[in-house]
Amino acid sequence: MQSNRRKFAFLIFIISIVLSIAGIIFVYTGSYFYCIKHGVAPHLFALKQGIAFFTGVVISVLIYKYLDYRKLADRKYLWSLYGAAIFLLIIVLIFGKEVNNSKSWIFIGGFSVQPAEIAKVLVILFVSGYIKYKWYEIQSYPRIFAGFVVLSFFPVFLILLEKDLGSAMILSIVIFAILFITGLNIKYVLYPSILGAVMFVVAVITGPYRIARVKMLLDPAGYFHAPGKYNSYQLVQAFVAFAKGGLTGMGIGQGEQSKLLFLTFSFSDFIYAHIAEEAGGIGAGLVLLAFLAILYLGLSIADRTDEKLGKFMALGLTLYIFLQGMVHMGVNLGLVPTTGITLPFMSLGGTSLISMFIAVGFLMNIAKLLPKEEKINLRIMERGRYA
Amino acid sequence: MKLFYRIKHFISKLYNFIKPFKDDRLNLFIFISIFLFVAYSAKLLSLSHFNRNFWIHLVEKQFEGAIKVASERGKIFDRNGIPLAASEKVISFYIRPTEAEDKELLLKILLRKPEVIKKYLREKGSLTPENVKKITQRLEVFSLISDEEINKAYEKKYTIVKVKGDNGKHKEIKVPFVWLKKDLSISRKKAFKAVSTALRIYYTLSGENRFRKKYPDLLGYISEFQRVYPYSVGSVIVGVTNKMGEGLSGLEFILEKEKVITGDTVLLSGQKDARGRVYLGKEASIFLTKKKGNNVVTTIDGNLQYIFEKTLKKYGEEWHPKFINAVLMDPYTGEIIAASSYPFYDYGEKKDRSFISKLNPRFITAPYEPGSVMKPIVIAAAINEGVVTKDTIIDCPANYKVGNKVFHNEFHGRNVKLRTWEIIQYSDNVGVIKVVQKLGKEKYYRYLKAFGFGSKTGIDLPGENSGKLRNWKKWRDVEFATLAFGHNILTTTLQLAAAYSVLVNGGYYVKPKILSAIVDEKGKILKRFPSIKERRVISEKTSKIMRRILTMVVEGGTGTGTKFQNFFVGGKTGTALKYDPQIRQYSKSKITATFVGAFPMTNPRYVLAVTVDEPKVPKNMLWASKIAVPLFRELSERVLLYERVAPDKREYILMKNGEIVSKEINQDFILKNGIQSSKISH
Repeated sequence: MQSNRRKFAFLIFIISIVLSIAGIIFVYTGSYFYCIKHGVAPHLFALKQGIAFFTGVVISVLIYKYLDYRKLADRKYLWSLYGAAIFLLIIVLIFGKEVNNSKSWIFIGGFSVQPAEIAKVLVILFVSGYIKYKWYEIQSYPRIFAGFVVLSFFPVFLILLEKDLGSAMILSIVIFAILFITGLNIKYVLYPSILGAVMFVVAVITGPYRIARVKMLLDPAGYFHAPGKYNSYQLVQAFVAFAKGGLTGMGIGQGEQSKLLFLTFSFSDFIYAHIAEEAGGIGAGLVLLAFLAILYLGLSIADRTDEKLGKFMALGLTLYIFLQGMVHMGVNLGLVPTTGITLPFMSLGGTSLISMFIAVGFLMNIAKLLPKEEKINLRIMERGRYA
Repeated sequence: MKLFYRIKHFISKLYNFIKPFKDDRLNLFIFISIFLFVAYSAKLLSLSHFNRNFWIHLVEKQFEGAIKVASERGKIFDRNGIPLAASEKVISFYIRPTEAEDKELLLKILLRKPEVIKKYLREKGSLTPENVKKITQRLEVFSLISDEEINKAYEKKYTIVKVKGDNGKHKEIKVPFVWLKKDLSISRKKAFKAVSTALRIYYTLSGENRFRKKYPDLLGYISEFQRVYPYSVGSVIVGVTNKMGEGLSGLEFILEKEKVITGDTVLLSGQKDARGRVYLGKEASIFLTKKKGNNVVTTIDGNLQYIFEKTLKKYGEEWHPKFINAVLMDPYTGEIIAASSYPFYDYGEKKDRSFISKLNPRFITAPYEPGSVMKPIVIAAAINEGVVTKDTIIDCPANYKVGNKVFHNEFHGRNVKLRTWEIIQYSDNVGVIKVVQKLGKEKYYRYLKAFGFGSKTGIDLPGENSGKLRNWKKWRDVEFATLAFGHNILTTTLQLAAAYSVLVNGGYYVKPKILSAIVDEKGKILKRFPSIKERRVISEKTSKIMRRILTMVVEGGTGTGTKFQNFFVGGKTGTALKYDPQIRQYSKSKITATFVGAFPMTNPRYVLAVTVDEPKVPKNMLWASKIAVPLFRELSERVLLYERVAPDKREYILMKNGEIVSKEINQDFILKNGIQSSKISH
């Protein structure tokens, strides 16, 4: 019988691989017309995604086989992780190029990479390691808690400077979730959360375009042809993609919204709508279920590990993947205000895909090192042989 | 009992599922995620199933697109079958100089260097003299493009296009596209062969992958219809088209509006994308049939039109008038044989700021006060009504007071007595006022209306003006008197020509026309435009008298400038002082000189009306007899020469035996133009 720990690792790995392969297919169907129109080979994006996929799988397998996550509790490794994350984020700020209003791309040779994606995973690893290392002090002394907050939110601040609000919010939610799971005094989590919520409301009220975004979220059809920049054109086109797909979909490669160029970013920010158009509501539902499954498996790993560091890391990484997926799907479904968040494993973005597989690799690694589960065997108990 | 057990089991399982973890804080995440899952699935179902049609209907229109396939425009012919306007398929070559990595190679191919062709064939392994010849022949089309033009295109590199950016501001974009040569009249097949061969040679020799390129068409062509005007005459009548091939003015405009000249425009429905491009399914083009536009035959004579335009231009450049109009009309059929208006647009001329005004057919759009040319109308009406005969003696005092205004006669203070026909001959104002007063306001108004004044002629040209004629009940006495010699009335040149046609053709008002037939592609006549005798205005007898009276003007009156040795010409001058709104009275330096006449007067074949507005000449020249008459003479002489009309004046000789023998005068009038007299039979 397969042991539980191997089962978790295997299942998470399989789900991420299936999602990625499906992602490559949908990136291809969503982008080949775009590529032709821009004068590049039609399979260029899918090919890039495929290369990133193989790299990611290899990296995750390497992490699973040859790494021990417990070593990250070492101060030396921890601080080098933090340094690497900050270094990557600052490099992006200096050399980054602005694409679609967010400055997150660096062009090295012919490749474009998004170092921030890797940095986010590193930050999560660092935060879980740091809390494990100092959780008692954090809990006891508000000053140290404040220092921790400054330390862990400095990268978030850097991400905000890159105008990537969505990612920054996801990362801060993940950090607070890790704090929450430590069994920390509820005040420490609750007050900042309330403060964040208040700040969010204030931001919405002060920024007129944010009000417009919330309004158009409530009434997308009414804002379809609204004048100016803040109309719900993209959102309505995403809705039309869902509607055109119906429950069974138009067939892989048959989607019209992306080919007639109505659904822009049908291979990145709006890939979920594109999937729904081609694979139907059923396919889109399966993607949603896959992300729930990842959450369930990740939380199970977090639940079963006897190591604090493993628990924090498993929770942080799982939540990171899950939240990003949920925000992306929420944007596509019109439940979350529009931000440019890609769908993990599926959207175009080699660095993002590799970073996701790094996260999966660590999850698998944690699963590998789960303690053996001792099942109480009644028969053995009767014989009195149990220890 | 069993069921109860099962339900209990299910609930406990559900509880275990919802609360699967030891750590309650982890369970909280699962609870939240289940809530999210329910919300997301509900929205997903609503979008893709329940509210599906709402979203599809909302944007239905964005997918509806159609492609307009226009067919070739019909031709416009003159009365002899000379095409005045035709459509031609033209090819324009373009090049993308910056996209080619090996620019020298592309240049060499365009210049058809034999070493490049040989190198290409060697690479292909088929280097034979025949093949070299074949490929050189295929590239022969590029010989139409000069080396200079190629170099110029290379230097230009980009075409700068203005595009509206995201922020609403216009920004300039460099497009790697330069026109190499525009509007070549070669076949599409030839262009295609040349371009594809050149590209094949380029990609073979340069080793570039054409599928990797953003713009693989380094060299290309675009074919379109271009409107050409082979005879380049009659721009005022024929009109022009814009770059899209839509009629802007003249017949091009009005025939397009009436859908005569345009062929079928087929709308093929297809799917439209976000950038407005339309994609057609295969089935869309299966039943595609389209008809070419019908050809139109006009009553214009291209050669006479050319003569008219040349002559008007010559005088126009001499006098610098505001405009000169000339209309040549057949008095019996109403056909307009030539009509021009200086300044006019010369086809092929650069379109400058005055371009639009040069397309204006002023002989129908610019009404003016005609002056004394109206006098024959008064006399014709009076004779027709029996108020006077042509020989009634009318007392013409030197000063004649009507209301509070004193009119003077033409004899500088002498009281004279004139016969009716002499009033016209000497163009006497007092005499004509007396005649019109005898006629009465209402009758005169009715006659003016019957002669076609104050209403549109209904000619098939855009922008016609009806002129201005007030109702007789509103006429004051002074106004009525001035109306007798053509003031307080606005007429167009064409209206005058039509009215004089009535005077000479036997008394019918014939509607002027410019279209004679619509002919389809194969030459079948689809519609004829018959001559319409709209109404009888004066009796045939009156018409005959009027012919004589008008002839006397030329033979011995104000129009002697146009007297021919061998033809009877009749007409009337008109010098109207122009009202100057700045000094609020009639200006003495601005006149409109008119001469309207018919020839040959024995059996009038042509009515010619000439108007010269505000000629800038010395004061002693400011008379219609000095301005309009010479122009009329030149035009009529050339018309008579061109149409080879037999002379109608005869010389009468008293023989010794007392007989009077008539003899034709100046027979070599036509012979000197190379026509044998035997061919001319009258």
